[in-house]
Amino acid sequence: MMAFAITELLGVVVLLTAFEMLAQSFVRPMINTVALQSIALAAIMLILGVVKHSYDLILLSALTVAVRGIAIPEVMKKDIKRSGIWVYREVETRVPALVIIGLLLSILGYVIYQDIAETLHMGAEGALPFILFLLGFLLIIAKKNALAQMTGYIVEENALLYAGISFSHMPLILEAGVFLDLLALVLAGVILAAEKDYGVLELEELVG
Amino acid sequence: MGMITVTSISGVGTIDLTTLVYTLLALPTIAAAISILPNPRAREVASLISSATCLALSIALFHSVLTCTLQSGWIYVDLPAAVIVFLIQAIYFLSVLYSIYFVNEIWKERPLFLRRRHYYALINLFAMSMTFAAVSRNLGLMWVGLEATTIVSALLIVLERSKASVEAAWRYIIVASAGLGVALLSLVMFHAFSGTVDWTRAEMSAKAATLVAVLALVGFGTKVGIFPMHTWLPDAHGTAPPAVSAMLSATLLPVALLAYLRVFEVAVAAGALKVVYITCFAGAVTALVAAILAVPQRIVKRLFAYSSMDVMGIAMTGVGLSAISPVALKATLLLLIIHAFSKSALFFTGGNVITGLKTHEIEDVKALLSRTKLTGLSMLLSALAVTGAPPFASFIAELVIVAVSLSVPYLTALLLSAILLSFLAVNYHVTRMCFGGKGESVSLSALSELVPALACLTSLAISLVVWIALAGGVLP
Repeated sequence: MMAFAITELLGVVVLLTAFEMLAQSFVRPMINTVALQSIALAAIMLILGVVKHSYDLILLSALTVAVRGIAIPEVMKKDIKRSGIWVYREVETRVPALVIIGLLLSILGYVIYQDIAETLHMGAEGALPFILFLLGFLLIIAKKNALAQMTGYIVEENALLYAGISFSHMPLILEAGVFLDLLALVLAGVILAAEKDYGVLELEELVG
Repeated sequence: MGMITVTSISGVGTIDLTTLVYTLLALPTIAAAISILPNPRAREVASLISSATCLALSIALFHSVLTCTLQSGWIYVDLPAAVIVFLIQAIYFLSVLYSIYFVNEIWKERPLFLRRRHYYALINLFAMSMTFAAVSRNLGLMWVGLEATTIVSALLIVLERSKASVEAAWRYIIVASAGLGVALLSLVMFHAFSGTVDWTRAEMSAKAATLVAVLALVGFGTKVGIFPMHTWLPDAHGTAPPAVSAMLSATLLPVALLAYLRVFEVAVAAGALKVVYITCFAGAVTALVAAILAVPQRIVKRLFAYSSMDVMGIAMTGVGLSAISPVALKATLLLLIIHAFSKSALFFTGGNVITGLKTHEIEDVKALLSRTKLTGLSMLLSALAVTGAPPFASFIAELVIVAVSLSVPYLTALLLSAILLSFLAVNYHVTRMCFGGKGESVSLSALSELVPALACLTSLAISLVVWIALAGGVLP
């Protein structure tokens, strides 16, 4: 029982890291936070893996630390060094509004999830990943900085990984494929982020 | 469904079909590896050989799948998958051909974002990842393949390094991946409810299937360009190099639609009736919105991008209607075939306008029909084909879909107005470009004129075969 209490506590840590990211205007701490989130998630997997004697989960936990905890944050931090001021900071800070929207979204998400769970006879364990998923979306929508949007996407993927282990976890080969994709996507993303312009873009080619 | 497991084509020697599918995946990968080598001829030749061989193999695969379904390990190829694999290889071949012209042409003018070797490597990998997604029986692997296409194609879009193309690629990568995130959520739920991600073996309750299918509609629908998640589509398809636009429009959208079709079939088998209506209306509304947005377009390739969205909307309705009558699915596949060839022809002619006339504005293009040898004619005919005008078989396909849609209240009205409006919008702009005004003749290389003409002819030839088959009573 102790193990499950710890995983639940770690789940709360995962959720709080998402809020920390909403409140953060600087990119480097955002990247560190998403790395922390991935490691907390890996810890949950490790505990569940040991309790359930599942080697798949333990392996998945190691993969998570390697790819989402270390490799992806390193790739993103390299890009911060490469480019100018826009990469360091959000253009405008709207922290109070964002945190409040995040809270409302979490409550809404919980209510919606309960509703769905009741109809489909699912357990309550999916609520946290579901809320995290919504917060990942909020990060993508609310942040203007390209790298910050990328971290939002990683939060979304983390939520899916979390959902996967909360219900019945997907085959390992599949999760490995998802990891590879995520790594490649972040690589491609930072290449594009370095090319991207910010501010008011009046591109007549993209109108209508 | 009576499915027979068959692993070899009888008759023509014995080619193992599983090996054939693996070859379809291996050849582009090898070509991509050769492309990275410094020799410029080698990469063009390797890509051409790979794509031509893949095209021939995919026709063989299509032929054998007509009578039975290929099931072996993680591979599952039935008729829809075989059609889409064939389309991928055909457009891959045409795109490589056109790339040889286009990339060399714009390379003369300015430095590009990608080196030419990376461009060819990515084109090959793009084709490979689409094939991988199309032949997987496992929805998760399909997802992995689709997400891989996002990565390679986003990099391809930025080839010209204009502000617009970088912005478009960024929007594409963020919107499409966020959308595919929802698709992955639907797969996690799929797995939670049925204990598998193999759609051929999955069973779940109607309520669970409704949730999974609606999430999949949003998720895979983003990649198909379903309203309101379509925003990336006109940007990406409009600013990408023509060969990449052709592959995006003609083949990537159908691959994403195939992924949705798999989930949809599970939902229908589970008795989730609501999903059928939601799919039909999501498709029809998409088609109508695309048709309305196509009217005020000023940029050549953006107009064609909206036309793709329109056709995918109709195809999505076709997928929805396949639950009511299986003939709707066949009509959808036919529509996708004609659309693939004609739309790639349109994007190639759009590329010719950019290189030959140095403009992308519809307004600046006049009398294309008399100023070019084949480009104007290919554009005119292909525009008719994608909007479902006879003699093209897309007419039959849309007719069948509309006929089946009569059984759903209000759907026919939406669908008909979308088809009519997009016909008027696209052809109005295209006739403006092909006729009217005067201008000096445009000098284009033979290759650039021949590739769109070839695509256009193929779509005419397929239409002819379909008409003959219909008249002979071969098709239902």
